Amino acid sequence: VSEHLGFTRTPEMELALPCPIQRADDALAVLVEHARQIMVHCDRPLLVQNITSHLSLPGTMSEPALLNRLCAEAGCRLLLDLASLAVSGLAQGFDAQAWLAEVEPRHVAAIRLAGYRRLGDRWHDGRVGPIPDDVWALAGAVVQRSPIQAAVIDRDDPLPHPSLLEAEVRRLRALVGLAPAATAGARG
Amino acid sequence: VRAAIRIAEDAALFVLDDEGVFFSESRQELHIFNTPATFIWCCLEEQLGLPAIVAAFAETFRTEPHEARHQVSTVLARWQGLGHISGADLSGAPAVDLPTTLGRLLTTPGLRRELRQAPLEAARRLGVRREEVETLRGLDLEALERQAEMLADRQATLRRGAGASGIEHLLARMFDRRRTELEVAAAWRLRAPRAPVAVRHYRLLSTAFAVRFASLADEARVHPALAHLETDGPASREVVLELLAGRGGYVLVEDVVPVGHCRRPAELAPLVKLRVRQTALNRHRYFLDIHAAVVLAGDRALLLPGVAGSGKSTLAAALARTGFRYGSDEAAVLEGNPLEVRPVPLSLCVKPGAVAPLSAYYPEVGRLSVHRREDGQEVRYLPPPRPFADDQQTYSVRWIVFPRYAPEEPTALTPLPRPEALRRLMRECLTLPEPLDRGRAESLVGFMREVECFELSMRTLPETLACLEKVTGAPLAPRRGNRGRGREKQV
Repeated sequence: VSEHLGFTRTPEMELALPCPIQRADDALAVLVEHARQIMVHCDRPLLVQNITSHLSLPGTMSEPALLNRLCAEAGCRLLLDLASLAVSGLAQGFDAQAWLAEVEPRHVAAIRLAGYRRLGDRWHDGRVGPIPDDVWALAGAVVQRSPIQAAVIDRDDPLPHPSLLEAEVRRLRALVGLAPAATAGARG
Repeated sequence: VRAAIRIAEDAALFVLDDEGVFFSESRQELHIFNTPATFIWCCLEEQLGLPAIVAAFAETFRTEPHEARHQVSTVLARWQGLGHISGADLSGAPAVDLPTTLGRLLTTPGLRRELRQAPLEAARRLGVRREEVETLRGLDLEALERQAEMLADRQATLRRGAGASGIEHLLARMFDRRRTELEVAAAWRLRAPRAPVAVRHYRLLSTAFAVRFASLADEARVHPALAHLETDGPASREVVLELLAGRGGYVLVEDVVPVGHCRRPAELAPLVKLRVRQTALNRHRYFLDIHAAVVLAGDRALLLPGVAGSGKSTLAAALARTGFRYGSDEAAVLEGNPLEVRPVPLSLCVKPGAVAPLSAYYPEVGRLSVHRREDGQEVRYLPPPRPFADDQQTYSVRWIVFPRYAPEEPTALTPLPRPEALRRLMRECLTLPEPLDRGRAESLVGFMREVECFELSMRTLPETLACLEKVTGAPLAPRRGNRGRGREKQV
């Protein structure tokens, strides 16, 4: 099972989109407890996924540091959404490669790759269009450091011609072939 | 003297029984307020200030003044945080946590404006915990705005629903791993004979259809499910649905656009039936589409809303044999002002578990062809007994009954408060084509005021029918077998 690192509900409303949490010790304690509950309830390992966010809440630690501690204390691992990471980096003005370098490689279990675009004055994590070069570069950086177990191409409507999707799958297969026991797939 | 507390222009409360139905147009939200919340809102509408509201609340609900102040402040703080009111000074209200604050900010443009103009004042109005005020002041307001836009986009997408996909979605749908439906349809059309082997004409709601079949066998599989909707001949403006067949399956084309495909002959009827329903609904103007069966007692409609498996289709089928007229199996379209229901009288969908109980009412049901839906479910399509409801007119709704198949419990029909019924009804809302405005929200509440609402626990069909007879006063006819009235002519 996987879950986003964010909140989608308050006592007053459903937000329909994961929103950023505060990166602090008390928030971390809640996350660790929730991650443990999910793993016990589902009897499965949990993969925590980074979210797309334009907003960053001030906190006492960086997002990778929070993820490292969450994995270490709860025993979960990470599903790194590299398109979300790229969009968040562009929107918030941080270096996605540096962010990635701060994540402990042993925690990374899987990656997701997708396209994104800029519409008007906003970056959109729309899962449409080809996977851009910076996302490929992030994927390359991950597989160099982490023995990932799964890599997923994420593509929403409109789907391209199958030959274009197959080309991306081939590129991904070649990329993750550097890592042991890696698999690749495409999801529409 | 005007009170300092102002109600947002887009907010409205409609009283339904002792509770309130609150509507916020900007948030596109309907809420059921309990009696105390309704009371407080009514005080605001009467322009009472906070002390007067607290005093009135304490007197009406017989609470201590400090408790009344706490309850009123808590409610007002929440409404102010959600942008429903402004101008309330609520220093006594409980503080809220950061996620709650963020949720309010992300969904309320006015609060973001306040935060930009006067951060400390905004934090105070939001009731932010003291230790989190600095966090709030440190927010990147441009980023907050972008995040709010992203959330609004997502919420709008969810409201529109999956049916709103554009033409690009249709063109990109895959037939198999290598070919799109469009490519397959184009190739097959080139090979297909110019004239279809068979053409049937149907009408549902305001849409006339011509369905073209590539073979008599395909026609024989599909037509019985639509036969009761057949018209005498072509209409002047028709939607043309064409079934193209080839190696590997079938593609259904609507006018020139492929709109679906299936692999096996058993999947043909569900594919065409679903498309007829979707196209007819898409081309019809209505207020909302409820997941509900509909039957008529005389000219008064009984709505049976419920999720799949609740037993509504089985119940509707049995009622249609025992004195009621069939209206809809799973789509109740509400439209007009006052709101009335328009039937969507597609054939009844009978799942395997319903065959035995319905055999007493429809001896032929076990002999009907078995089809396979896209979700893998095996179904039979039972033509509705004639006369069924006319989809060219609307009917006033008199009863709403929420059925629940519960074989371990006694059959019981229990009155349901209207506000709770509205809550449950909206849970079954499939489509709301247009955003809600005050007028539509008011007509929805007006509609609810005129109906009797019940929840129904069903153990057996005969017990259930007897319960409904008492409520509706509809004389139940004896069960009819295949020699009875309304036996469907199979064409």
